[in-house]
Amino acid sequence: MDIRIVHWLTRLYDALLRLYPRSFHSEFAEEMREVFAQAAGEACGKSALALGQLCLHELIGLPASIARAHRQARAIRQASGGRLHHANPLERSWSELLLALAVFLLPAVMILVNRVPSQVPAPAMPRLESPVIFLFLVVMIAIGRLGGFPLWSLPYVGIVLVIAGYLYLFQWVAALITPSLISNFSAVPMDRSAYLLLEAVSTGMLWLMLFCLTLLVVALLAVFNRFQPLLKRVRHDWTQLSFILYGESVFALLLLFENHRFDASYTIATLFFLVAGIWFYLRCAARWQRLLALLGGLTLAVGIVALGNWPGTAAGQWTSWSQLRPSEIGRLLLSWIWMMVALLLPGLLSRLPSAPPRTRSPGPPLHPSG
Amino acid sequence: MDTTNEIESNLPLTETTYFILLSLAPGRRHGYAIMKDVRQLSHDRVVLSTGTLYSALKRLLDQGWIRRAEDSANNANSRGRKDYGLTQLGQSILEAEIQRLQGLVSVARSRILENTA
Repeated sequence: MDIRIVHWLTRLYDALLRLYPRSFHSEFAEEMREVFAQAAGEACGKSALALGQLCLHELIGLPASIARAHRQARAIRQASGGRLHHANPLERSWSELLLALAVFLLPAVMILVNRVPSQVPAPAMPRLESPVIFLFLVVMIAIGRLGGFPLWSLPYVGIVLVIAGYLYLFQWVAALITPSLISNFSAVPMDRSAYLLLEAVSTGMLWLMLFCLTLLVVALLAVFNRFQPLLKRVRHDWTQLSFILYGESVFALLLLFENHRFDASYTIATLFFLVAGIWFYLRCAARWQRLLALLGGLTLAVGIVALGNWPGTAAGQWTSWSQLRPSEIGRLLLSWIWMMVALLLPGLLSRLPSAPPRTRSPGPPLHPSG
Repeated sequence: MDTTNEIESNLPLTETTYFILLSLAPGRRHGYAIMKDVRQLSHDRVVLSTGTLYSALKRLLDQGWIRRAEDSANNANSRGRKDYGLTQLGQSILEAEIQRLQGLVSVARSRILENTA
């Protein structure tokens, strides 16, 4: 048999070894690769069937072994006081990076797949995006929950929060206060400034509500011992709260630009910039760099959405700034400003003076004299 | 926890752990040699995958039952290869497990002999 197959299989096995936790990988991957290469070389010398059996055996053994290694690593992390963040972001494993990036990569890939002309007639091929994305979210949240919501899972938490927050909480709050808003605004003709004010109030309300909801959920989760490390991490590094809010931005972007004038390429570009923001967030060491990555990713994403929504983009006829309605510019700027404010708010919270340490009151003397 | 209690609390051993410790009883071995030896010792009944072997080795290292050493014959062909050997604790646990198994077998033997007599 061709020895090149062994080299190829060893490289494939090496890639699979990256699914192990970082610490396990750095300790054993080199040895494991060598053992696999030796075993494969020996099996290759016997027959193709022996090589096939070996590969099958390794493939069956690998998932359980990876799961066990992750369980052990998690137990060690929890035992060490929930220090779940990496001191050096460059040591972050590829699996962790991929899991974090997948939050926006998957929708982008699905849009791309949908753009490929299919041979299957349209009625025979049901639209699978929503169920697949929903299932993906459920699986990711379940995995994240098992691990006490590690860093990669925070944007997923954000997406769930924004769905729950918008569909239930925001609609409920809006239903409560909208009648008074409408009565105030309907008394006067709806001019440009009144429209922008209404827009500022509703957009701000949405983002402030999302921020409060995020804060509340993190605090409530900390009631359970299992999720105490999450609160500790957020208190240690407030940008993690911004990271959750960043996950919420994708849904909010779609909501705020509901006209959907832009075509799929603009959506893919938007998701790409959001992914880039996550990538730099996970690779940067300093807090200000991480926050800058989120702000930059979101700003570029908003920029792409604005470009896609620009009047005349769809028809290929560009409208100049002077011809653009000020209300549209204002709406765009307002949304962007509120998103930035929401991402920066955790940083402001961390600047608040913390409660003074509790001092034990002097108790009665232990051994009364006399 | 003293050593005797620690040994007793870890018995009985799983088959995989038992065969790995048994494989290391004569002296230090590297990963691939352990894999082959376990297969031979168990008459092809226990066939370890690389992943299973190294998960077990990590656990045994963490528990202090085995220790790791760089391969003494380190050359270009054995880059990154490390030998594993039993610690004193690992040796004691293996001996205790063998004693336990011997006890089980002797009880079973005596009962079967009583019945046949």
